[in-house]
Amino acid sequence: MELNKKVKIFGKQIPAVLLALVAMTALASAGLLSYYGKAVGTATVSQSVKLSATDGINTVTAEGDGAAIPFDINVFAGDPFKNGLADLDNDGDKDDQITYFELSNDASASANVKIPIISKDIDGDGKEELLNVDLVTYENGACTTTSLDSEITDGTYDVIVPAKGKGTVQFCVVGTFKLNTKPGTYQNAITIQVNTV
Amino acid sequence: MKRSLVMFGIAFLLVISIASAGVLNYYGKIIGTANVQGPIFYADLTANGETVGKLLLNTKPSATYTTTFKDGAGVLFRSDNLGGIDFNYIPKCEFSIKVRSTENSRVYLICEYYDMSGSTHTICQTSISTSTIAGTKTASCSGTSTLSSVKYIVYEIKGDIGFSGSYTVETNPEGETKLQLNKVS
Repeated sequence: MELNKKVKIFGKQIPAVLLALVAMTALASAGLLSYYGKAVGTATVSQSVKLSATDGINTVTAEGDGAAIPFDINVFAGDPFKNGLADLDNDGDKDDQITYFELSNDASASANVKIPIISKDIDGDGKEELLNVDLVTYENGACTTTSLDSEITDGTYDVIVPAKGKGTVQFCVVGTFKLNTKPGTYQNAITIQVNTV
Repeated sequence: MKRSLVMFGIAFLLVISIASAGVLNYYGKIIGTANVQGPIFYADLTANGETVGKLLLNTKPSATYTTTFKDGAGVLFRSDNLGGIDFNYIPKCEFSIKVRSTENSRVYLICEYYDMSGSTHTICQTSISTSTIAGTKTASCSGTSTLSSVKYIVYEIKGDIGFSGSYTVETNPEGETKLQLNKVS
């Protein structure tokens, strides 16, 4: 390749090397966006599908910066858990029991979304500790034992969120830590991301 | 012609790079922090005077019963069959017991497990003082190794050999007699 080669753009002679550099920079920025894209997307994209959590009185919605509903699970090994505690009344403490999570849709057409569940042990030994996490439907005022729509593979759910005015999808996060789970704190034990198909 | 191709190529790359950023879409996520404590086994006598009771996993007994023993005898509580699971951490046994004795004395609290081959393994043991006033006492001890092929977790309470009086242990719906496994910090 000739380093001093120039290309004419809008009547100006631009070095080809400079143009190549611009293209590479653009690609690199796209690459970075794919890594940080989840945060960027939620902060800037107008969302039709909303994810929220409620205790029946207070509701928090995952939108804006961060776009996450943080919640705590306090459980004994071997015990089942359901949903968890979150700061639903916005008092700074995650002390409100979540009744159910909800997906709603502001668009005039239904939305098909995927919800992968990622369970991780980041307590230090590298072994995945959390098992049997499941999303079940919330119906008639209770979490059921019916899995939320179709579970595809690897704990990923394929969910259709009805169009605006046609209903919502209400669900619960349930699971059990094994009896022999090493006691400790497992951050990001459950991460649910809702993505378009 | 060659120059046009170069220009087209550059424009194409720019469009692709912008598009790849634009298709990112994401509606929200739920992030949990799980604080997991070791299992609690509640001692449960199903009748007064039993010498072998149950350990209920994370469930308190439904009624109050007592058992009385003398000298170096005792009472033993056993979990359900756990199927040979491994505990890949060194456990700390945290005991609680509601007990009284006819005179001031001492009982020994033993944390152990039976494996699938039928062998008994003592995890650790400790002792607490007793008196004529029924009270809830707590104590703990630490194991020295992980647990393999666990069939039953066992909480054994033994009297002091040579003690002339008797001991009475109570299990109740408050769950005052129990054993919790935690990890050695």
